[in-house]
Amino acid sequence: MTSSPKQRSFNFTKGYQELEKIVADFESRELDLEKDLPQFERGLALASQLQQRLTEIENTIIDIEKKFSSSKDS
Amino acid sequence: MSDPVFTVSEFVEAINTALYDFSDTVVEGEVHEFNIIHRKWVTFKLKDEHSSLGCFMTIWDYHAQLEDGMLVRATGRPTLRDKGFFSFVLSDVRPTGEGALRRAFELLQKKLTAEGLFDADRKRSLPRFPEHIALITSRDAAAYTDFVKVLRGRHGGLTVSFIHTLVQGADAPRSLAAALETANTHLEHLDAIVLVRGGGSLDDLHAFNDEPVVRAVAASRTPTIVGIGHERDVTLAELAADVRASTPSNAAELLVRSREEIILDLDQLRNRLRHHVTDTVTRRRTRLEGATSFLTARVADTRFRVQQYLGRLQAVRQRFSHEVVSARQRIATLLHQGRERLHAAVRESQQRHRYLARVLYSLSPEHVLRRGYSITRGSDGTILKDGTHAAPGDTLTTTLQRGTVSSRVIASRL
Repeated sequence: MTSSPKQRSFNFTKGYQELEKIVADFESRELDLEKDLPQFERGLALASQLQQRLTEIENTIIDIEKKFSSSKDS
Repeated sequence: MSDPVFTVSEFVEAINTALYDFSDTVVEGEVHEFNIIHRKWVTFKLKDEHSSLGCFMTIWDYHAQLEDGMLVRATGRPTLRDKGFFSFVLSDVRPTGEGALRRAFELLQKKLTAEGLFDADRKRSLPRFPEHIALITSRDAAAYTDFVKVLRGRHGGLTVSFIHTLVQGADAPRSLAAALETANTHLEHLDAIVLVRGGGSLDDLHAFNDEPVVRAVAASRTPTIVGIGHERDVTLAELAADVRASTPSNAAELLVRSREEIILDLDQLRNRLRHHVTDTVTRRRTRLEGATSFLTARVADTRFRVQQYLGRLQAVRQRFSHEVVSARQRIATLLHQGRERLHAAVRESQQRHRYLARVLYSLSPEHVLRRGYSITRGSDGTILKDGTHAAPGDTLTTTLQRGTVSSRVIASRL
């Protein structure tokens, strides 16, 4: 038996990492206001999306039938 | 009918058949003369105040840490061996009683510590936002309820694959090891394995101090978090885990962050982002204003200097015009003077030339001949200046003012 979490359109971890990367990038250098504006907007959009996700998602519990590797344990 | 007569082998077999009823007998006693032979066989004597029982088992069934004097429960089958001695062949042996369990725990801890199983540098960190975790515990345990309850108040979107296992009793170690294997082998994209149980005595927790279970936790491909309730006693499974939680609830807290915590973090990230952009804009504006006022000042300064230069240039031009006029006058004067001097020099030179011509003319031979003098030459044509140079009979030629005379020398003397 194989189980995996449902595929989601928006990956929370990746979104969060991207947001952190944008912040770290902005803090590490001098900004080019015109060029960096899309990234700034992307960062704000990510933050909103992530916050939105927090209110939406519930946890799922799946019962897994244990596979016994040893026949002695049947 | 006479009594049956056995061969030795038949008799040994008959005895063993009769002893079959004692299979899986559990005997409690103290370990003496413990020995491991050729890393294959384990032998010791199980004793109480009055009796002693020889025990034998293979190393593969031996999962405990025994030493002499330890109280154990041995599970096995009494067997009469081919060579005629009696042996209690064991399938399992476990320390029993607080003292023995404590000692066995210490021995195993020492051994696994020496192997580096609990080393800090082996520990992996748990993902910040796990999406799929395996929860290994008993379905009926409070640990399960506690863990799930804490999860509800936290960041959602998590898939929990629950694997029921025994957490207590003789079969618990095997059940736990199998659950760990199931999680590692059959679950895809697993972020963490959570192993939880409520607290208990050392005897209750023995499965979490069982060597194969501890090794399975340490060897897990997926990062592990182990939380045993009420951390009075730490178990070896907790030491082997990547992260140790103090209770099942704490395991949920460590693994999954609360929504409020993440919202605070997100706010902070957003503020940092905004602050950096606003800060950049402010700094740019200040710099721009600075640059503008600097430029204005520079322009005013330059204008002032240009006017200064223009004034100086005007003065220079006037001075230069004066210079040109006076130079022109000086040149005209010099030219006039030069011309005068040249004319005077020419006149003087002409006068001198005329005088010299007159002197030269008065000195010329014709002028001398005109005054009555003559020139006499010898036969060789040279001018005769000495009388001795003419011998008698020589023909002389004399040049007069007009014409020549040829004559013969009669005599010569001084």
